[in-house]
Amino acid sequence: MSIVTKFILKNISEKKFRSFLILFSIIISTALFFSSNAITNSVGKMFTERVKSFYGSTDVLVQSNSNSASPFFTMDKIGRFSGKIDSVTGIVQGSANYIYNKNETLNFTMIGIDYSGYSKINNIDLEGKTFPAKFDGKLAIIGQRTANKYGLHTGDTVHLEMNGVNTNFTIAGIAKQTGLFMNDGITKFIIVPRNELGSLYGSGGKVNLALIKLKSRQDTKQFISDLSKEYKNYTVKEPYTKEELSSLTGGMATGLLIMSIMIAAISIFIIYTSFKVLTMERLPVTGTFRSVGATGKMTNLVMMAESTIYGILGGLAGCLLGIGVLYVLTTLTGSDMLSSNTSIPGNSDGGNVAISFTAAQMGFSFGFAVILSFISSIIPIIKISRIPLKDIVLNNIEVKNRKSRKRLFIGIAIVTAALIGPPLFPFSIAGITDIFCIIFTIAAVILLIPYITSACTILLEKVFGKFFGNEGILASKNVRGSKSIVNNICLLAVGISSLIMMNTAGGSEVAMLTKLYKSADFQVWITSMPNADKSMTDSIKSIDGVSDVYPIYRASKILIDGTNGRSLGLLDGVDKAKFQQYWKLDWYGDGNKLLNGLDTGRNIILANTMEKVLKVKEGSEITLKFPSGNRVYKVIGFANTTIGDGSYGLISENNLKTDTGMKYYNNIFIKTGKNPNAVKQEILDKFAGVKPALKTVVQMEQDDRDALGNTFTILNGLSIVTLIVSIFGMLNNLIISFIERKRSLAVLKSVGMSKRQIIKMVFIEAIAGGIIGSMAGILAGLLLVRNIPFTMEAMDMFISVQYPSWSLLLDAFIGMAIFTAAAISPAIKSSKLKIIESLKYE
Amino acid sequence: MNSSKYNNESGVLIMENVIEIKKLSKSYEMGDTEVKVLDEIYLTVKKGEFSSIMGPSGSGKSTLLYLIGGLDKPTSGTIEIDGEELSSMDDKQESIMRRRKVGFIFQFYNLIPNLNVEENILLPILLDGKKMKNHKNELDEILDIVGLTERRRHTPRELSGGQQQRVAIARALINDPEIILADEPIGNLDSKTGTGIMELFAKINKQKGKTILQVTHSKEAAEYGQRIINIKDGRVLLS
Repeated sequence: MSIVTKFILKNISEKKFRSFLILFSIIISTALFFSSNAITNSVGKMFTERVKSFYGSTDVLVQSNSNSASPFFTMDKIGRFSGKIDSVTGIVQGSANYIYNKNETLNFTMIGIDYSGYSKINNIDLEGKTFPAKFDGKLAIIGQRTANKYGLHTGDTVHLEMNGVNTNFTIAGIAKQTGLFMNDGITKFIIVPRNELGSLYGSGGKVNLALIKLKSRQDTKQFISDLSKEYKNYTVKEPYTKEELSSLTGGMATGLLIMSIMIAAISIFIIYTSFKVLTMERLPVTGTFRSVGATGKMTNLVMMAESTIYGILGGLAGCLLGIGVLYVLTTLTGSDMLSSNTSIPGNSDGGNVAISFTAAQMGFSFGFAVILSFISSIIPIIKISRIPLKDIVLNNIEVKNRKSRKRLFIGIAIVTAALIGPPLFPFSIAGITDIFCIIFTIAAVILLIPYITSACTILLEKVFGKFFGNEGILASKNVRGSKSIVNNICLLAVGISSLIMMNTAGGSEVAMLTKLYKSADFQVWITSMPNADKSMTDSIKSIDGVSDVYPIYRASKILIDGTNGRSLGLLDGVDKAKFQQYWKLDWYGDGNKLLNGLDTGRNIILANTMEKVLKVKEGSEITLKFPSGNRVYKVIGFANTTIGDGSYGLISENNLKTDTGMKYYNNIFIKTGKNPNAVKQEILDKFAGVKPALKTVVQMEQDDRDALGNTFTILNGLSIVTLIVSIFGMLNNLIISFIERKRSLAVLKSVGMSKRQIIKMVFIEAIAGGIIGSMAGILAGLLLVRNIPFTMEAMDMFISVQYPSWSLLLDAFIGMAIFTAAAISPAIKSSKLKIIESLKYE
Repeated sequence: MNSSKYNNESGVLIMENVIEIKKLSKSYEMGDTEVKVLDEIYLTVKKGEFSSIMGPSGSGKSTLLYLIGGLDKPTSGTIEIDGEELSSMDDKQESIMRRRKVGFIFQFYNLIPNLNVEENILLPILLDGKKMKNHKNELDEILDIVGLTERRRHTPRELSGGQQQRVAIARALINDPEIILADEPIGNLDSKTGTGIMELFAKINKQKGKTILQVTHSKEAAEYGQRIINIKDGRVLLS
């Protein structure tokens, strides 16, 4: 090993706490950076695996939608494209209750297949070899786990209740944990012959899902376009689209990215300050190297190599930790994210967790670690290289503590940019620019804190003088003059601000959810039901316990012309007579009058969030892009609501039907005085053939809260990690500060400062630092919170920020507690300091 | 200011002892061996006396000064400052003694960098819990004596070595202590500035009657005082 390498490694191993701190910051930053990049991959992989488990090698599928006259269709028209098709198979889907015993009834998704056709698209791997030559009649295939759990074997009979009819099926085969049965036990599928299931539902030989495998995937888009013309009122699509995939992780990935930016900012700061001390400490050695002939470039390279080694070690460990973090994140939130996509049957039941990342992501994260370490340390290294050789050799360095005005102006300029920018950025670039505004805000905090500290200590000097006497005055002066304390204030401020940002975002989302469900005045919510027409809603109404039913037409993702791709998340066509009975919205003005106005032309009521986002007011016009063409709507009012996360509009039922071409209701709200769960079950049983998606409102709220809870538990957890990294940085600074101040403290002791006075002074300094750091953190946090809606809007997500009040005080208290606790050790050390030894310390 | 008193019976002028050292020893552990820096020293310093401790490097002169100032603890023996024994004092009493009875001046000035000239000078007052504004007159007078009235708002970084040492002298004087202890006060200054500082010491000794005990290597500096205490190998040679 060369002398230089030995020298560098020895340097790293000698200062254990500092090396740990630098590595710790790099590792955490890298792990988070890696996982925020790879989460989309992992969730995407889980999603595609689930898609694949159900759809096999399907390239295109055909299924009914809310415009379809019947859930069933014939596959004749598909046959017209046989030249392009490798294989095609039709499926009848339904549901059945398996009555295991008196207390346990399970709901299974029934998949009616043509065995040979389905096998060409999705393999069914059966246990044993006793499968009948012809899969026909009342035969069934169940999964291995289900068989084991309920003690079922080949040849056994299962009693199923389907469409109100009790039927016995014989188990013809038990499938291994692959394909459709990959997540068996979590998902519940039973495969039966298609004809058998079809006859039970009266499909008349038709199917409600067709899976098509193409000869060439390159033709997919054209094929979909051509086939769509044949199946005008049905959905013809790929099993999943890229948009569906990216929408799964949008919020979480952005949250993680923001947190990794915060932690990276703190890490840069920690590495920078550590290297500043390191370069100063290393000065005599650098001097010796230079005096024996080393060039400035050589000594710089040694330091740079040291920082690169930190980057390499931190990068390697960070990537490994990142895999762990990714696994935890995917485990905790993956299923919630996936369940938001209802295009895969059985998906909402959950499934196996699998993580996935690319070598490029790993390499990119590793590079991030090395660059992070390098750029954080380069400034102190360059600064040292500018010191004249004579001064380095003689260790004759005076630390200038002059505050540059430039720093103040830059700080003010970038915080102003971060404040003014977000509302002005066009939607197309807002995704990137808003993230930059977060970086700007943090950078501004770090730049401005020395000035904020100076200003605050002038005030605190007077207050502390009154409360704590002259030690209070001295402490205030010390806070103003100590770079280490100012650095600690920066670290605390960034830590606190990230905590505030995540708490506020989480709190606001929960508040929005609460508001949404508080405004829903019904008990059961059907979110999807094929071919729901008046007769069907009448049929629901006739169910025992259902007191009233309100079906609506709901369109989603309606693009708004001239807004760079913004859209209305939800657009409801409402029945003015009923809407108010089911939704208690906070109208801007008279609700009845506004709703009546919907029928007098192409008028729209928007959620108040849209008022700001679209910059519209009463009387403004917006152009909505419908499949049938663009339609101009006049804004006649606003309602304060969180339906559609605030991306919401109301138009008349007729207008919605006309403009979207919708024929069937797709959301049905049900009022009941009875147990909503019993009513829900009744509906499921009654309409098993059309497989409606429904939940009780209570359950829906709980599920939403759980999903939100998981996401924000992670993001809050990460903001606490940010705070912990900050605390480590603060401890490092306090150690540096103690070493720097040893002499000053000894001087104070020599002129008569007692131990008690020293302890008092150090603690007052901590309180002052805590107050200033917390206040700066709260201020920065509020600045970041202020930009949350813009960052979310850039992803076409909306949030109505609920500014925290009491929790800010708690955050301030946490800040002061951290600062004070961190000062215990320096206070004790200071009081025990030996005057002569410290005065001799140069 | 008169620092002596008459014996009423004999009418003879008696100089009071402000520092009395008996059998004072100080040793350090260095690895397994014990290094004796001071070896059973006896010494008295009279009120108003300007004395200089001289001796070769490592003879224990600075250690003796630090022990007198209560900055270090002796291994054995006693030190009385103005009749009070240092070893019997707790931290608080010792701190009060350093604030009120002793003023310390170091070779490297030892000023607090983030405090300005005024604040550095007033440190002992501040630590004594007194209000700065009540000591404006004393401050003005001392600033005048040390010649830094114009530089009162400057921070140590903005001062020359000589000016910084003057601030240290002013700080040592502000609480009107009986004794000024100076550890090589001109050791870090050029000869011209050093002369100025020594003249200032002599002026303070004469005009204010302060007892000054300095450690110095310089014969010229020692000659500003009335007495030279020579130390060698931890023992006082001539007093």
